[in-house]
Amino acid sequence: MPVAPTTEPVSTAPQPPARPLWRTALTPRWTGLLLLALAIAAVMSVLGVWQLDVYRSKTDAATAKRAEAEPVSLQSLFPIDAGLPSKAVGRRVTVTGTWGPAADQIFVSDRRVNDRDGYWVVTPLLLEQGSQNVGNTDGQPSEAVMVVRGWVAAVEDPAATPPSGSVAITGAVAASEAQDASGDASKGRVLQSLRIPTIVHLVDYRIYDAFVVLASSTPALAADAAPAIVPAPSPPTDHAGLRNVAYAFQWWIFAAFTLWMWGRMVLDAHRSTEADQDDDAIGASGTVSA
Amino acid sequence: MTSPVDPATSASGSQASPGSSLTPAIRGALTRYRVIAYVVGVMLLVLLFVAMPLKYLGDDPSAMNVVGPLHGFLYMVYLLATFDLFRRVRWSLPRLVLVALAGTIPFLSFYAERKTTHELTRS
Repeated sequence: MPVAPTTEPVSTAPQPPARPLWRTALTPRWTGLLLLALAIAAVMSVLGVWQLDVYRSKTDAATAKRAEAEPVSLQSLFPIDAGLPSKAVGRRVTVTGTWGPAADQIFVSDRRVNDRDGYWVVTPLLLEQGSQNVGNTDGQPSEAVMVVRGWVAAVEDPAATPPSGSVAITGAVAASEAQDASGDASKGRVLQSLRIPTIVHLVDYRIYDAFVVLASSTPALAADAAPAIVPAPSPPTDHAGLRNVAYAFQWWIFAAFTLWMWGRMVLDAHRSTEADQDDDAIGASGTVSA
Repeated sequence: MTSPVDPATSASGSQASPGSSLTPAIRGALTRYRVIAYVVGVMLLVLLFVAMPLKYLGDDPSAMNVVGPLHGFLYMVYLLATFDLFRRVRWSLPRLVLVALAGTIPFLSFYAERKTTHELTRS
């Protein structure tokens, strides 16, 4: 039994011995304190929501900042023989080179644009390699990056044919899709998921461990002669302001604590009045007035 | 934190320590309060004079990211300890509020802790 506390009996009128708890809680003192506690708890809860909003806007800003950064050349972002660094995902990049032949293209099925099922066209872009030959003359495979050029309704769509000649593109770096597509390797050139580990076996190039989702290319093609541009996958969330998440929870805990304190004090007061009615000395023992 | 006080044991234990009229239960609550008041007081100074200048002047929020939430959670412990002590020593409600708020004001928590201890331990 907790120590009997602090408040004087709330009513001097004689009460039946088993006075219910709600009678104590309904006295003006405790009802008033309850309203005060509720008001404080409400303000604290709002402060918690506000801190969570701060976290959300910080995270949104950090996430957007990555996608808004000026495009840099793909090669300056990470080397072809390295894994895709997570901080490169979602960055806008520029690549120059020439499109690989139509026979090297990959199609990814079940992609919807405007409620129409179709395919993504994934074409290797052979990178310009300084003074070296682009071709295979020294036995070294050419370096390339797989570019999601866009969407076509059917694999036979003539727009899927890659244009020839040198091209400079801008696009967003995308990682391999997480979805397991273990059956993809046996399905020829139409795959279900966009994954470098599968595609690396389907082309004779050294390829980057990343895709570039095409946004624009120079020279530009007429809209009906090229696959429809697809939006870049949303960049990974850059969490910022985790401190504010902690603050949010702290405000909510403070709010709950405020209400809990009220309940505790009412219980104490209730027991105190019971003790007084019993003319019991328990309430006076074990305590010191401050 | 709010371990129940058995009236019988607390009454019999009140003569245990010379020079103090406090029961062991109250002395325990007071010690808990003093420890956490000191920790929160120091934490608040670190927050104010190390973490905040680093963040707002030095543009380095890493210290703030640790000290800020840590201080918040320690302050919760401070509130629990203060409330526990309040119930045991029959403080008035305004007194509880003042001591609780003292933990949020730099240096004042040290003063409040000293004053509380002096009041409770003088016999």
